[in-house]
Amino acid sequence: MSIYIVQLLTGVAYGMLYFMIAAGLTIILGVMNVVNLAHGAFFLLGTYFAFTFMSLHLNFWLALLLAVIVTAILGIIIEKLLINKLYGKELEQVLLTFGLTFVIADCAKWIWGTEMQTIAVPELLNSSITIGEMVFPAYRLFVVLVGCILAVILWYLESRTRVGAIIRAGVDDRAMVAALGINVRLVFTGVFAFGAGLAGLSGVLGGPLIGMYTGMDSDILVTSLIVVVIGGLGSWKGSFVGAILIGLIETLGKIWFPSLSMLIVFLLMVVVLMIRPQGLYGKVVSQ
Amino acid sequence: MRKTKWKFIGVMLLIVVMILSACGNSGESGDAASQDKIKIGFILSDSGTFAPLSENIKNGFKLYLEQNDNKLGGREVELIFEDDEANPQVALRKYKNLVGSEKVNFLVGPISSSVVYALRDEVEKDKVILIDANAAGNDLSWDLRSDYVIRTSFSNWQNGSSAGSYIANNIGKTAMVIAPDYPAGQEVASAFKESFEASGGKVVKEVYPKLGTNDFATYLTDVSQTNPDVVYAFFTGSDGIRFVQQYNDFGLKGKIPLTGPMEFGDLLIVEPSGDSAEGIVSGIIYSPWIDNEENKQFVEAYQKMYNKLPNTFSVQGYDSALIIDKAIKEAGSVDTEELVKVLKGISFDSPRGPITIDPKTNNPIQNFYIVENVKKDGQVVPEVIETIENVTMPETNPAK
Amino acid sequence: MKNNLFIILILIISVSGLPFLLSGFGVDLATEIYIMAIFAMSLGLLMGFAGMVSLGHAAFFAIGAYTVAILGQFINNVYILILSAIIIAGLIALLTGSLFIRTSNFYFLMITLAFGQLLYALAWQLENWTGGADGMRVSATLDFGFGEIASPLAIYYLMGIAFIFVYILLKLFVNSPAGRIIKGIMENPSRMAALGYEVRVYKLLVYSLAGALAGFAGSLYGYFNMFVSPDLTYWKFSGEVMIMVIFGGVGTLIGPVLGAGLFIILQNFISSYTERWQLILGAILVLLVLVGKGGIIHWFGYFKEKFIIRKGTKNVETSKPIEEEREVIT
Repeated sequence: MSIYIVQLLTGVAYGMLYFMIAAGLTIILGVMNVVNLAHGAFFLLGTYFAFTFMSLHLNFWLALLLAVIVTAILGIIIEKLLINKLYGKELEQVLLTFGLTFVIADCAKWIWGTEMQTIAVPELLNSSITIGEMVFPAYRLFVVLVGCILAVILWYLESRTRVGAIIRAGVDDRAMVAALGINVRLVFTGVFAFGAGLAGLSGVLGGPLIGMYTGMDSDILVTSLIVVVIGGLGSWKGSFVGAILIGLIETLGKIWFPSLSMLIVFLLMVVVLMIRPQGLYGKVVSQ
Repeated sequence: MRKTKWKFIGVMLLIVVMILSACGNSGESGDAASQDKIKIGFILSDSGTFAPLSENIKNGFKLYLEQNDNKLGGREVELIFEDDEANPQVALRKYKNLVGSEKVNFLVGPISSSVVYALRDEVEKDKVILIDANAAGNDLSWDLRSDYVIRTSFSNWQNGSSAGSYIANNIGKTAMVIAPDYPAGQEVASAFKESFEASGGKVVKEVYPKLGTNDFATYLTDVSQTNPDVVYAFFTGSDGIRFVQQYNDFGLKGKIPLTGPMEFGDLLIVEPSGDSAEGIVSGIIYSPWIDNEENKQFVEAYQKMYNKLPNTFSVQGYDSALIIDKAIKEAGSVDTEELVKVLKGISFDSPRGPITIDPKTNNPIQNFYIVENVKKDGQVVPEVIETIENVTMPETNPAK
Repeated sequence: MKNNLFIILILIISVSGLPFLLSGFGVDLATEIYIMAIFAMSLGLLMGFAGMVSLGHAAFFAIGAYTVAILGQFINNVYILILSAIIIAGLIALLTGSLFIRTSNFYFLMITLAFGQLLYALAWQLENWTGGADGMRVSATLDFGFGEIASPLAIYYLMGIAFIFVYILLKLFVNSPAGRIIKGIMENPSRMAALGYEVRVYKLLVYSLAGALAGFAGSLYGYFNMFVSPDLTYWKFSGEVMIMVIFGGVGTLIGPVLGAGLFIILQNFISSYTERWQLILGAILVLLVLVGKGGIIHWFGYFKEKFIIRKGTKNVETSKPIEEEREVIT
């Protein structure tokens, strides 16, 4: 029994990391209609920035905060300088963000080198809890907790605040937002920075679990795109459910279908899209 | 109006032609200029997860050149680096450039076995010497052996089998094997199984997670349920670091001894893993603390040049330069056939110990060191327990 | 039509003349560019003429290449192998397409990505057939019944001919009634549906055709490289082809060809000169997108606009007074 609890918690912990990165991706897609292939790069940058701040003897929490802020600022710069120029040209935006992944990954390699590193678990959480006869690292529980808090914050933002209303309107009908006299450009910049920050957060929190290495950006990107697809574009609720689903399937799939572990996530996505072409919580959009 | 568009296309095609022809000519002009100069082409993986391996191989190679006035076998050397992205298709294209256009005398490379298998037929056809500085696929020494491919690193068979008998005799008789689900993983695992069981041990369970697994919780809970005497795990790169850390996180460290091939005793994994790597027993080919004169000088020079300690891959790069240097000197020319004759059976003193290229397998006969990672002055270092001399790869696949 | 003949003539001249200008590696690179151009055109057809953006198109390329590698162990016949590569890729495209075209836009992009990754995992795991991650060698020989074609120059001409052949074929298809309907569907699906056209059938037709063509390119690639590996169906390869298409210009046939040529040359050149090739290539991509005006094929249009519009405005200026005069007169 306790084995299953450990597996479940593990799946949920990874699901939460996927949720944080997918939440940004989905909202950028939903509001701005940008398939941001550079999102994995923000994840990577989050980890690398945190590593740098921690090697300057800042503690984990300060490093976390600074890394998220710096990543978000970088998001603002990229949005203002580049993506802004291509509003409405979707294919070009895909190509642009694809080019950015090359640039960012190579710059990271240049600045930080190719050596693999890890981010130390903060002192406070560097312990294990015992579940039955099994041991579970406390840090993972913390990740689950942060994910849940984030979900609540996003839910509150979306349903109870003006910002949320604008974003919801943006997902439904972009033209309407502009017609309401809202500064669309500002909304876009904000959304992009917010998404980048979330990816950075996911990177920092994932640091102690996943480590930091060249190529981590593309490893995470595909999975988070799948989460977005399964959940439905522009839906935080969808991302949350999709991410936990993927986290669980990945973990439990290893036990039940070990030979399928490479395929299972993609199979899940194909099945979901066959039944619901717009994802679990996506709205049906006319073409 | 439409006509101008086609003119434009014509112009574009012309540009393409011009670039292509420039591309082709670049190599030939330099060819006749200096006959003594030799060209060495590198096919390594600079982007992606193999990047640290590539960088260390290059560092080691460059260090040897630095120590020898940028000369190998008394000749000036020009290095050309190409990135294969760990993709055989890209590697083949780069190969055609290096051999067809740059006309390199030697190739040094690749990181991944799939690339070396793809290149193998080509070097055989074009008669170019490939110094395999890393790719460890067994078949390169067996069914796919080529006279033109000389390996300076090690084979998966050597890597897996080296520690087997030590573990069976000293640590435990029942083992659980965990290795990634790809050819190298299976080759290392089966070589370990063979040598471990030959020494009276028994592999009670084998699991193969997919390559690039983020989380080993599933397998680690499996370990604690199976409760073997010892765990033998093979993971490279970031997978390896994660495995070592999670082994600690899930409370298995100190309970069931963790063992593995050279990766778990190599600084690339040991350094970032921190205290989690303490206590692991592994069979390695190199560590900066191996006691011999060559190594002392090598470590000192390497630290001076790069301000960090060398790892296994640095020494593989260093030895690749060394072997080219020695072969040219012994052959007295850069003629391929002469070089092949010399390279087969060549011996040299490497920082990792004495090495002979086995003419039967084109694979190095070398020492493996059984090490235990111990904590010294706040740093985890691999400490040699036992030396297994002259580990030699069998001439044919023992499983067949 | 005259223009089409003109461009085909240019293509024939450049394909036949190139080897006299190029050295060994140049010929090899050009050969690869022809194969990639066929591949890029097939995706260009899908993206530019049917509006379906696929991020898993490499799957069909890989199917073609693996068909030659796997079947080639048993049947060493070029005709049968290439034909079966085309048929198998086309059939799989037809089957998967009938499921995938239910989704649209981003979801289509993602589901094709998933399909490519599924094949990647299969190629990786079905070791006994595909050689797994280590890849497998192609044992089939390129022999059309009059001796093995082995010299790089002969292979070059073969691929060049295949490339021109596919170009002509696609040009004919695009200008055929079916091609026009498909373009119409992309531009306004509901209108075409209202006119009584089966939107899905036409979409499926393009998808299968693009798949079969990619399979054809893949089979040629198998013969050219003599080695196949799972990387052929990895999403990054699909991404690269997509770059070639967007790079060259969506909505044209020659655009993807130019894109393929420039991308491969750039990738090769930069990486030969610097280890920072990713940075430079990425920066070039970003720059090209910002100033690219929708692909290199359209640059000329842009320059021409600048150039001719100046002339045009003069015309407007000169014509205006005349109109005013007329007004005065009337």
